[in-house]
Amino acid sequence: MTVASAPVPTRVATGAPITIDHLSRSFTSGTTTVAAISDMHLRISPGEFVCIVGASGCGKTTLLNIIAGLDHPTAGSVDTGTGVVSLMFQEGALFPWLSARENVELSLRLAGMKGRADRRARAMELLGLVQLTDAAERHPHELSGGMRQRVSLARALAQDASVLLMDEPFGALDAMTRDVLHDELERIWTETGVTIMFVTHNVREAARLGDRILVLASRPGRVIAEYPVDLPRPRRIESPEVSALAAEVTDCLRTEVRRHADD
Amino acid sequence: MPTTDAAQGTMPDIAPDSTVAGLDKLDTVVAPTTSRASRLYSTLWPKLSAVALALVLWQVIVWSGWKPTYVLPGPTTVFSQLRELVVTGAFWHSVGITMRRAALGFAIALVIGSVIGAIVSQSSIVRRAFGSFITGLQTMPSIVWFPFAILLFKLTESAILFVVVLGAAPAIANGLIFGVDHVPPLLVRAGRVLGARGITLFRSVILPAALPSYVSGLKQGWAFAWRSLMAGELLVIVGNTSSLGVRLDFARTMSDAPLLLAYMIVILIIGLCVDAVFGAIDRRVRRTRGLGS
Repeated sequence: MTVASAPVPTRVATGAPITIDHLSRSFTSGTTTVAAISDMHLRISPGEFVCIVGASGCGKTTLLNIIAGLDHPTAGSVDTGTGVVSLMFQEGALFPWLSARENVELSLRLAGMKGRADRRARAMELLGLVQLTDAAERHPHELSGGMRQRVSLARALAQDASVLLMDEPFGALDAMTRDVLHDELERIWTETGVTIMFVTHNVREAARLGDRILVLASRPGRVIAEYPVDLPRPRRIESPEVSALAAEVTDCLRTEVRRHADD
Repeated sequence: MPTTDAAQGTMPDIAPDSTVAGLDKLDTVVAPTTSRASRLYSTLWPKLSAVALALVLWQVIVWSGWKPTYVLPGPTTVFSQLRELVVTGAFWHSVGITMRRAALGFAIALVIGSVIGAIVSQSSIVRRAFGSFITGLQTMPSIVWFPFAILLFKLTESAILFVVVLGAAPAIANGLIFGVDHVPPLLVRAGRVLGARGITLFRSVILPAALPSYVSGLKQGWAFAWRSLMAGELLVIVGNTSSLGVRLDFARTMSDAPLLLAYMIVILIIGLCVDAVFGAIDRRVRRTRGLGS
């Protein structure tokens, strides 16, 4: 392996921009109405990696559901262009009756890819991308948490999405597996040029991965702070620069959470 | 380095191939492998012991002289009768008639039960209207239907099939409904994210997710079908057919106890064999999903 001489490839951003205007979503049950998101504005550039942090009740799941088209806004609009929006869950949500390869193949089939043999070849290619070629025939229950999340990532990539939404995808993993998956995700993001919106509770993770960190306020959810991350990649999660930024973002979150104590 | 793929070269200073491979190896559960023979042995010996115990008990009761041996013959008499029976063509003809009815009745019940189950599970209005009705139908002893069935269809095979279907279809429908109700919402959400809607979502996600309960429903449906069929063959004697039920009834009329018991054993064995097939499907379905053992 020639480690030192290999050039870092130039990233081609093929992802779609995300434009969120005056977005509001409230839920009504009986006579009470709860605002999950209130008047949110957001501009995300094509191919940008945006991390979103927020305490409980910041409406992150609602936001992701709306962007993914699973839910509708009460007011305002979301524009993600014409491309496919994919969503990756914390628990992976793989179909337990299908092997890793078949999970990816189903995603390809639902995305409209014709030809069984072609789907199979492409699925193996995607599993290779997440380094799971050897585990292709295993079922989800035979995989570790980290492996399941990688299959889940391959399944999302199979949709050939221009926007990839990630809902705390590494939240349930141990620290070491998470570190490795950060490297993997960064590599895949570099290779595919997809736009990523990454929700996490882990501020360091946000500082490790994001081009930008957005802090959401809770009840109702809205953007209260924005931190551009101009540290060079690849970053290390334990580096002093990442830690310093994480501390700054954590302070911001703390202030927001304390505000609710006085409610 | 164990893996060398094209992606390797893109980010060389961080590409943690060996770390990934190492973590995957460590995380992989190494299941203890047992040989087929020892597995077969461990499932078979309790069953064989139980059969042996039952035979011993039977012989003890015969020896006790509780009933004269022409009413309650011992196992040896019955099994030698059975051995003579299974080499006759007439016997297999009877088995054929009965099994054809069982297969036909179960097939009809399968279609009707599955369609009703699919409709009820997808529509809350239909469910409110018919949900408890299906369960009610299932709790009703199938023999109660026979007078009505005979009224409707006279003494024909249709009368028997009618009751068989009524017995099995609700169990199959309920299995499917229960399965669909218990599909994890996350999987449905994942299916929708992948672009599956309507019938595609039902076929690609909901139905496979509900399959374990559906198979349990089929297993239960078979048990109901078999019971109803036997009741039917005893009650509805169709002219010129000699099904297992007819032969059983004939043995009683002739007071031929060994023959009667031999037919009962045949009926028991057929029921168990089919049940074992459903059991094997059930285990297979569960194993691929990592449910149970």
